[in-house]
Amino acid sequence: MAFPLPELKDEKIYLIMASAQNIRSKNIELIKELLAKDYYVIVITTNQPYDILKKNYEKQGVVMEKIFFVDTVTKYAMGRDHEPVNNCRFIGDPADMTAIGIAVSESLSGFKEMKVSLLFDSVNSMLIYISSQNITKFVHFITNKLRLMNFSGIFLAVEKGLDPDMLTQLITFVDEVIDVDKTPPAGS
Amino acid sequence: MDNDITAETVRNLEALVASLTELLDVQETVVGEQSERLKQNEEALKETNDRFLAFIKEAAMRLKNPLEVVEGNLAIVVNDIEHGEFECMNVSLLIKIQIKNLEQIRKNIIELNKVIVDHSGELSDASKKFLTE
Repeated sequence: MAFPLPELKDEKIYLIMASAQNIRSKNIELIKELLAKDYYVIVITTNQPYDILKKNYEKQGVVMEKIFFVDTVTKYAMGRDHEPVNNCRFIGDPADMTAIGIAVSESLSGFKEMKVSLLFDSVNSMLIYISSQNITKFVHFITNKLRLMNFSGIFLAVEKGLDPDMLTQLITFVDEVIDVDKTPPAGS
Repeated sequence: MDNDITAETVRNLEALVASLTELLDVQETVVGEQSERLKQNEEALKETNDRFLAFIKEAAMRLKNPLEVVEGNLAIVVNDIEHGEFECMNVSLLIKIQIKNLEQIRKNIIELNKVIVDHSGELSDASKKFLTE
Protein backbone atom coordinates (compact mmCIF):
# COMPACT_ATOMS: atom_id res chain seq x y z
CA MET A 1 0.00 0.00 0.00
CA ALA A 2 1.33 3.43 -0.90
CA PHE A 3 2.20 5.70 1.94
CA PRO A 4 -0.64 8.15 2.45
CA LEU A 5 1.09 11.45 1.92
CA PRO A 6 -1.15 13.22 -0.59
CA GLU A 7 -0.17 16.60 0.77
CA LEU A 8 3.59 16.13 0.77
CA LYS A 9 4.72 19.52 -0.41
CA ASP A 10 8.00 20.80 -1.80
CA GLU A 11 10.32 22.49 0.67
CA LYS A 12 8.22 21.47 3.64
CA ILE A 13 9.61 19.77 6.71
CA TYR A 14 7.65 16.98 8.36
CA LEU A 15 7.77 15.05 11.58
CA ILE A 16 6.29 11.66 10.83
CA MET A 17 5.19 9.53 13.74
CA ALA A 18 4.80 5.79 13.42
CA SER A 19 4.51 2.89 15.80
CA ALA A 20 7.69 1.00 16.65
CA GLN A 21 6.38 -2.00 14.66
CA ASN A 22 5.72 0.10 11.55
CA ILE A 23 8.69 2.40 11.40
CA ARG A 24 10.86 0.13 9.20
CA SER A 25 8.13 -0.35 6.62
CA LYS A 26 7.31 3.37 6.70
CA ASN A 27 10.90 4.16 5.82
CA ILE A 28 10.58 2.12 2.61
CA GLU A 29 7.14 3.52 1.78
CA LEU A 30 8.43 7.05 2.23
CA ILE A 31 11.44 6.42 0.01
CA LYS A 32 9.14 5.08 -2.71
CA GLU A 33 6.84 8.07 -2.33
CA LEU A 34 9.69 10.56 -2.51
CA LEU A 35 11.27 8.90 -5.56
CA ALA A 36 7.86 8.86 -7.25
CA LYS A 37 7.74 12.61 -6.66
CA ASP A 38 11.15 12.89 -8.34
CA TYR A 39 13.18 13.74 -5.25
CA TYR A 40 16.79 12.96 -4.61
CA VAL A 41 16.78 11.49 -1.10
CA ILE A 42 19.46 11.76 1.56
CA VAL A 43 18.86 9.17 4.26
CA ILE A 44 20.43 9.73 7.67
CA THR A 45 20.26 6.35 9.28
CA THR A 46 20.90 5.94 13.00
CA ASN A 47 19.45 2.46 13.40
CA GLN A 48 19.53 0.31 10.28
CA PRO A 49 22.94 -0.07 8.60
CA TYR A 50 23.48 0.90 4.97
CA ASP A 51 23.93 -2.70 3.76
CA ILE A 52 20.61 -3.78 5.25
CA LEU A 53 18.73 -0.71 4.07
CA LYS A 54 20.12 -1.13 0.56
CA LYS A 55 19.12 -4.79 0.52
CA ASN A 56 15.62 -3.96 1.81
CA TYR A 57 15.15 -1.16 -0.72
CA GLU A 58 16.30 -3.30 -3.62
CA LYS A 59 14.05 -6.15 -2.49
CA GLN A 60 11.14 -3.70 -2.65
CA GLY A 61 12.11 -2.63 -6.15
CA VAL A 62 13.51 0.75 -5.13
CA VAL A 63 16.03 2.17 -7.59
CA MET A 64 19.09 3.30 -5.68
CA GLU A 65 20.41 5.88 -8.17
CA LYS A 66 18.84 8.86 -6.43
CA ILE A 67 19.39 7.77 -2.83
CA PHE A 68 22.37 8.81 -0.71
CA PHE A 69 23.13 7.82 2.85
CA VAL A 70 24.78 9.09 5.99
CA ASP A 71 25.21 5.92 8.05
CA THR A 72 26.06 6.45 11.74
CA VAL A 73 25.96 2.80 12.86
CA THR A 74 27.85 0.46 10.50
CA LYS A 75 31.40 1.65 11.15
CA TYR A 76 30.74 1.94 14.88
CA ALA A 77 29.33 -1.58 15.16
CA MET A 78 31.91 -3.22 12.90
CA GLY A 79 34.79 -1.45 14.60
CA ARG A 80 36.45 -0.88 11.23
CA ASP A 81 35.89 0.96 7.95
CA HIS A 82 33.23 -0.26 5.54
CA GLU A 83 34.54 -0.65 2.00
CA PRO A 84 34.01 2.69 0.26
CA VAL A 85 30.72 3.16 -1.61
CA ASN A 86 29.80 6.12 -3.76
CA ASN A 87 26.43 6.84 -2.23
CA CYS A 88 27.17 6.55 1.49
CA ARG A 89 29.21 8.33 4.12
CA PHE A 90 30.01 6.22 7.15
CA ILE A 91 30.33 8.02 10.50
CA GLY A 92 32.57 6.40 13.12
CA ASP A 93 30.56 7.37 16.19
CA PRO A 94 26.79 7.93 16.34
CA ALA A 95 27.30 10.34 19.25
CA ASP A 96 29.59 12.57 17.16
CA MET A 97 27.11 15.25 16.18
CA THR A 98 29.86 17.40 14.66
CA ALA A 99 30.85 14.63 12.24
CA ILE A 100 27.22 13.88 11.39
CA GLY A 101 26.52 17.60 10.94
CA ILE A 102 29.50 17.98 8.58
CA ALA A 103 28.51 14.88 6.58
CA VAL A 104 24.93 16.14 6.24
CA SER A 105 26.04 19.67 5.30
CA GLU A 106 28.44 18.34 2.66
CA SER A 107 25.85 15.93 1.29
CA LEU A 108 23.24 18.68 1.04
CA SER A 109 25.73 21.04 -0.62
CA GLY A 110 26.23 18.49 -3.38
CA PHE A 111 22.59 18.86 -4.40
CA LYS A 112 22.22 22.62 -4.78
CA GLU A 113 19.33 23.68 -7.03
CA MET A 114 18.00 20.09 -7.13
CA LYS A 115 14.82 18.63 -5.71
CA VAL A 116 16.02 17.08 -2.49
CA SER A 117 14.43 15.56 0.57
CA LEU A 118 16.26 14.45 3.67
CA LEU A 119 14.93 11.40 5.52
CA PHE A 120 16.07 11.11 9.13
CA ASP A 121 15.49 7.59 10.56
CA SER A 122 15.04 7.95 13.45
CA VAL A 123 14.91 10.42 16.32
CA ASN A 124 14.31 7.55 18.77
CA SER A 125 17.33 5.46 17.88
CA MET A 126 19.49 8.58 18.12
CA LEU A 127 18.33 8.92 21.73
CA ILE A 128 20.47 5.89 22.57
CA TYR A 129 23.59 7.91 21.86
CA ILE A 130 22.69 11.55 22.38
CA SER A 131 20.81 13.37 25.14
CA SER A 132 17.35 14.73 24.39
CA GLN A 133 18.69 18.27 24.76
CA ASN A 134 21.40 17.71 22.15
CA ILE A 135 19.04 15.92 19.76
CA THR A 136 16.71 18.90 19.90
CA LYS A 137 19.65 21.17 19.03
CA PHE A 138 20.69 18.82 16.23
CA VAL A 139 17.22 18.68 14.69
CA HIS A 140 17.09 22.48 14.87
CA PHE A 141 20.46 22.65 13.09
CA ILE A 142 19.31 20.30 10.31
CA THR A 143 15.96 22.03 9.80
CA ASN A 144 17.73 25.39 9.53
CA LYS A 145 20.06 23.94 6.88
CA LEU A 146 17.13 22.53 4.93
CA ARG A 147 15.23 25.82 5.02
CA LEU A 148 18.27 27.82 3.91
CA MET A 149 18.68 25.51 0.92
CA ASN A 150 14.94 25.23 0.21
CA PHE A 151 15.02 21.47 0.68
CA SER A 152 12.34 19.28 2.12
CA GLY A 153 12.86 16.99 5.11
CA ILE A 154 11.24 14.18 7.01
CA PHE A 155 12.06 13.18 10.58
CA LEU A 156 10.80 9.75 11.55
CA ALA A 157 9.95 9.12 15.18
CA VAL A 158 8.05 6.75 17.43
CA GLU A 159 5.66 8.96 19.34
CA LYS A 160 5.51 6.85 22.47
CA GLY A 161 9.29 7.03 22.79
CA LEU A 162 9.43 10.80 23.12
CA ASP A 163 8.85 12.94 26.16
CA PRO A 164 5.91 15.32 25.47
CA ASP A 165 8.10 18.36 26.25
CA MET A 166 10.71 17.23 23.72
CA LEU A 167 8.00 16.46 21.19
CA THR A 168 6.56 19.95 21.65
CA GLN A 169 9.98 21.44 20.89
CA LEU A 170 10.49 19.25 17.82
CA ILE A 171 7.08 20.25 16.50
CA THR A 172 8.15 23.91 16.51
CA PHE A 173 10.96 23.09 14.04
CA VAL A 174 8.78 21.41 11.42
CA ASP A 175 5.90 22.54 9.23
CA GLU A 176 3.66 19.60 9.82
CA VAL A 177 3.29 16.52 11.99
CA ILE A 178 1.80 13.39 10.46
CA ASP A 179 0.84 10.41 12.56
CA VAL A 180 0.71 7.60 10.02
CA ASP A 181 -1.03 5.29 12.44
CA LYS A 182 -3.90 7.77 12.61
CA THR A 183 -3.83 9.07 9.03
CA PRO A 184 -6.47 7.43 6.85
CA PRO A 185 -5.21 5.92 3.59
CA ALA A 186 -5.20 8.27 0.58
CA GLY A 187 -8.56 8.58 -1.06
CA SER A 188 -10.60 7.43 1.92
CA MET B 1 3.10 56.19 99.98
CA ASP B 2 0.51 55.78 97.26
CA ASN B 3 2.70 57.81 94.91
CA ASP B 4 5.65 55.51 95.61
CA ILE B 5 3.54 52.46 94.86
CA THR B 6 2.22 54.02 91.64
CA ALA B 7 5.70 55.03 90.54
CA GLU B 8 7.02 51.53 91.25
CA THR B 9 4.07 49.97 89.43
CA VAL B 10 4.76 52.20 86.45
CA ARG B 11 8.44 51.26 86.53
CA ASN B 12 7.50 47.59 86.72
CA LEU B 13 5.10 47.96 83.88
CA GLU B 14 7.71 49.83 81.85
CA ALA B 15 10.21 47.04 82.56
CA LEU B 16 7.60 44.48 81.60
CA VAL B 17 6.85 46.28 78.36
CA ALA B 18 10.58 46.53 77.63
CA SER B 19 10.96 42.81 78.28
CA LEU B 20 7.98 42.02 76.13
CA THR B 21 9.30 44.24 73.36
CA GLU B 22 12.66 42.52 73.60
CA LEU B 23 10.91 39.15 73.55
CA LEU B 24 8.89 40.17 70.54
CA ASP B 25 12.10 41.27 68.77
CA VAL B 26 13.71 37.94 69.56
CA GLN B 27 10.59 36.10 68.45
CA GLU B 28 10.51 38.11 65.25
CA THR B 29 14.14 37.27 64.59
CA VAL B 30 13.55 33.59 65.33
CA VAL B 31 10.45 33.50 63.16
CA GLY B 32 12.35 35.31 60.41
CA GLU B 33 15.20 32.81 60.61
CA GLN B 34 12.81 29.86 60.67
CA SER B 35 10.93 31.30 57.74
CA GLU B 36 14.19 31.75 55.84
CA ARG B 37 15.22 28.18 56.69
CA LEU B 38 11.82 26.89 55.58
CA LYS B 39 12.13 28.82 52.34
CA GLN B 40 15.60 27.38 51.75
CA ASN B 41 14.33 23.89 52.55
CA GLU B 42 11.43 24.35 50.17
CA GLU B 43 13.77 25.58 47.45
CA ALA B 44 16.15 22.66 48.06
CA LEU B 45 13.21 20.26 48.01
CA LYS B 46 11.90 21.77 44.78
CA GLU B 47 15.37 21.59 43.25
CA THR B 48 15.68 17.93 44.26
CA ASN B 49 12.21 17.23 42.97
CA ASP B 50 12.91 18.99 39.65
CA ARG B 51 16.18 17.07 39.30
CA PHE B 52 14.41 13.82 40.10
CA LEU B 53 11.66 14.51 37.54
CA ALA B 54 14.26 15.47 34.93
CA PHE B 55 16.06 12.20 35.73
CA ILE B 56 12.89 10.15 35.30
CA LYS B 57 12.03 11.84 32.01
CA GLU B 58 15.51 11.50 30.57
CA ALA B 59 15.80 7.95 31.91
CA ALA B 60 12.54 7.00 30.18
CA MET B 61 13.76 8.40 26.88
CA ARG B 62 17.33 7.09 27.11
CA LEU B 63 16.61 3.73 28.74
CA LYS B 64 13.03 2.57 28.24
CA ASN B 65 12.69 3.72 24.64
CA PRO B 66 16.17 2.54 23.54
CA LEU B 67 15.41 -0.86 25.01
CA GLU B 68 12.28 -0.92 22.86
CA VAL B 69 14.42 -0.01 19.84
CA VAL B 70 16.76 -2.93 20.59
CA GLU B 71 13.80 -5.22 21.26
CA GLY B 72 12.25 -4.26 17.91
CA ASN B 73 15.53 -4.72 16.05
CA LEU B 74 16.08 -8.16 17.55
CA ALA B 75 12.52 -9.15 16.70
CA ILE B 76 13.24 -8.19 13.08
CA VAL B 77 16.40 -10.33 13.09
CA VAL B 78 14.48 -13.30 14.52
CA ASN B 79 11.71 -12.81 11.98
CA ASP B 80 14.21 -12.68 9.10
CA ILE B 81 15.93 -15.85 10.35
CA GLU B 82 12.63 -17.69 10.78
CA HIS B 83 11.57 -16.76 7.26
CA GLY B 84 14.94 -17.63 5.79
CA GLU B 85 15.37 -14.02 4.67
CA PHE B 86 18.86 -13.43 5.97
CA GLU B 87 22.49 -13.45 5.09
CA CYS B 88 24.95 -14.37 7.83
CA MET B 89 26.96 -11.18 7.43
CA ASN B 90 23.87 -9.01 7.70
CA VAL B 91 22.55 -10.86 10.75
CA SER B 92 25.98 -10.58 12.35
CA LEU B 93 26.07 -6.83 11.67
CA LEU B 94 22.56 -6.29 13.01
CA ILE B 95 23.39 -8.18 16.20
CA LYS B 96 26.65 -6.25 16.59
CA ILE B 97 24.67 -3.01 16.38
CA GLN B 98 22.31 -4.23 19.11
CA ILE B 99 25.30 -5.14 21.31
CA LYS B 100 26.66 -1.62 20.82
CA ASN B 101 23.23 -0.20 21.58
CA LEU B 102 23.04 -2.20 24.81
CA GLU B 103 26.56 -1.11 25.78
CA GLN B 104 25.50 2.49 25.28
CA ILE B 105 22.29 2.00 27.28
CA ARG B 106 24.43 0.69 30.18
CA LYS B 107 26.64 3.80 29.88
CA ASN B 108 23.51 5.97 29.85
CA ILE B 109 22.36 4.39 33.14
CA ILE B 110 25.71 5.18 34.74
CA GLU B 111 25.72 8.71 33.35
CA LEU B 112 22.22 9.37 34.68
CA ASN B 113 23.07 7.80 38.05
CA LYS B 114 26.09 10.09 38.34
CA VAL B 115 23.88 13.16 38.05
CA ILE B 116 21.78 11.96 40.98
CA VAL B 117 24.70 10.67 43.07
CA ASP B 118 26.65 13.92 42.65
CA HIS B 119 23.79 15.79 44.29
CA SER B 120 23.04 13.31 47.04
CA GLY B 121 24.85 13.45 50.35
CA GLU B 122 22.96 10.54 51.82
CA LEU B 123 24.57 7.71 49.90
CA SER B 124 27.50 5.74 51.24
CA ASP B 125 30.67 5.69 49.17
CA ALA B 126 30.06 1.99 48.50
CA SER B 127 26.58 2.74 47.13
CA LYS B 128 27.90 5.62 45.03
CA LYS B 129 30.57 3.32 43.58
CA PHE B 130 27.99 0.62 42.87
CA LEU B 131 25.71 3.06 41.06
CA THR B 132 28.36 4.75 38.97
CA GLU B 133 30.78 2.02 37.92
